[in-house]
Amino acid sequence: MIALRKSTTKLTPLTFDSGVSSTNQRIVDPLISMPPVAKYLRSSGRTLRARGYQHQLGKYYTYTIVIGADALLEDGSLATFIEEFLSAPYRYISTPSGEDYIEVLHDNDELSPEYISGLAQLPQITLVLSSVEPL
Amino acid sequence: MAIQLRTALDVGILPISALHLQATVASDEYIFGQIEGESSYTMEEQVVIDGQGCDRLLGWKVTATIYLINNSMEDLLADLKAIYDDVRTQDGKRLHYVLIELNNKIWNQHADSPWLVKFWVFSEQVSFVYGIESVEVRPRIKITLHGFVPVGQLDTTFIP
Repeated sequence: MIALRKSTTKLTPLTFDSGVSSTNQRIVDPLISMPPVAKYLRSSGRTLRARGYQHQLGKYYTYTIVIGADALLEDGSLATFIEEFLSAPYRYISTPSGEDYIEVLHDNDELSPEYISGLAQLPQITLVLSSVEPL
Repeated sequence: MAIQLRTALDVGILPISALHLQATVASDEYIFGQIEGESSYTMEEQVVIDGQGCDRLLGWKVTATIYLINNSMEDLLADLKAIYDDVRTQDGKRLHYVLIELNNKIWNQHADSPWLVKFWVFSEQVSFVYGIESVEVRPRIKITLHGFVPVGQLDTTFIP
């Protein structure tokens, strides 16, 4: 299970709270939630004499979470919540649910559901999120 | 632990004994009772694989192909046309009501039957088309139903 939480203010502390209203938090059984993947931010290039350099500026995590059609069928308002979650000023996830919240960015410009077998009743949403704070 | 003991008598033979179709709420319900044994139906499970390699059930693809034995075409085609003319007015062109009646008695004799009767009911979820095909020298009418029923929306009635 993972928790998706939206907020209009920045959260401090980031301790998970199971008592947040369903307007602001949903606990979802995702179809797929892979372990986070580390991404490196680097500045690299070559000098005028062609010597290569690469400075590591920082590292952050990305999270790929697939909300399956089964979860969206069970909770008819979940798709709307996900849209609101992605457009909220502050977005947090707790994965697995119960861990401290992680503030995340949404890396896609659009929310484009995939439809299983071309059926409009079976949307599936893939969220690609990345941590705001560097590791 | 609950153990249910079953006997061979619990294995029912349940041919399709009738097909009930209603195009819209306001339409007449049509019952087609002379169904060929070759008629068939499937409810194929639609699943996706999750991150642990297990299935998640999303619903069922419903397909039924019903052949009518009776080939007094004029009356049957008039009925089917009337149903389809009403279906065409519906959003999504789906039937308001479909009932596949399974019974090992003749369709209009099950009221006092002690035998197993089972209905599958689909509402606003199934499309309907019909055509004619010949089997050797015998023309027959074929009705095809297609639809998808999401988990939690399967309306079933079981009458022992």
